[in-house]
Amino acid sequence: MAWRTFYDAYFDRLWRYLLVVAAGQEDAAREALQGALVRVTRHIKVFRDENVFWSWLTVLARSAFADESKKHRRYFLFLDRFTRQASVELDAANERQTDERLKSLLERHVALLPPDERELVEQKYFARRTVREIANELQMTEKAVESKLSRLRKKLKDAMLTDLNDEFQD
Amino acid sequence: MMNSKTDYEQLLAEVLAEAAPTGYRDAMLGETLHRARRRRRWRQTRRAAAWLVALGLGGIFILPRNLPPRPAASAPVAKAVAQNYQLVESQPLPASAFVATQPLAAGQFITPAETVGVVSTSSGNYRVINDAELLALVASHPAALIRTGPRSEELVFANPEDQKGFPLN
Repeated sequence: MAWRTFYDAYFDRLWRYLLVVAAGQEDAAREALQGALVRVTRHIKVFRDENVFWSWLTVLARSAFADESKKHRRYFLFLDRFTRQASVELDAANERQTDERLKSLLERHVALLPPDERELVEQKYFARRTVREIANELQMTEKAVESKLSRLRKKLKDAMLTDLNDEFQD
Repeated sequence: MMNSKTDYEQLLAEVLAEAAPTGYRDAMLGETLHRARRRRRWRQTRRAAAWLVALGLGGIFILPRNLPPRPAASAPVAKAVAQNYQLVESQPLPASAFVATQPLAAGQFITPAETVGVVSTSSGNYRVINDAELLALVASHPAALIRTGPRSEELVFANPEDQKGFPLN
């Protein structure tokens, strides 16, 4: 029960954090997240402060990511990438503002969307309108709106992860 | 349109949920719980094994002291090999066991004297006498000739002093 509570509270946050640390590489982030969660089960203890707990989680997450990267580090090129990755990790660790980074990327890519798509996103997430209201206004079915929103979210996700990866490559 | 950080928070959560779909999230929860349980079982097994080892070691060290001594297991006997020789091992004697001789001083020599007279006998210068002649020979001393066997006789003097001997005429 306690584990499920922890999981619900921190899964998304860790996932976001690791996406930034892994420079948008979803597979690497997934592996690292799995490793980090296993480490949590091994080393969990009582923390007086939530911020200290989060810092501890980020340490586990980064070390899990580093270990996963080592497993896959087979060629010199990858070694080089890992070295540069370390600096990304360090930045992320120092700033502890992974969410801010993701949000700024999201903001940028929402702004880059074509007007109709941006309008749809704004209606749904900023104007807080329901899918039914949007569907009525656009004279579409709810299912079509849901489908379009899903495609938009995937588009935004791909764009954000590509940006993260490009930052890492530079 | 104005939007706040909170608006982006919601959008961000849903966008990233695309990267980590619900199925993946549930699968990872199950996998993590499975690993955690396996680890706990392994830890319990390891602890139990450690106890068993400790008990075993304790039994090895403590039980033999409380049990009656067992007859020693017979050592494996090497097969006797027939040998055509007998091996005898000797050891040097201690100095105290040595016996040594020393040359005698000149005064301790005993040499045979050359002035000893040699008495020799010659054959044929005697004669066997009979009982009567014997008794006649010692006639001055009362004596009796006692037959002690078929071919043996003993001359016994009446006077014990004569038994010691006396000169003949």
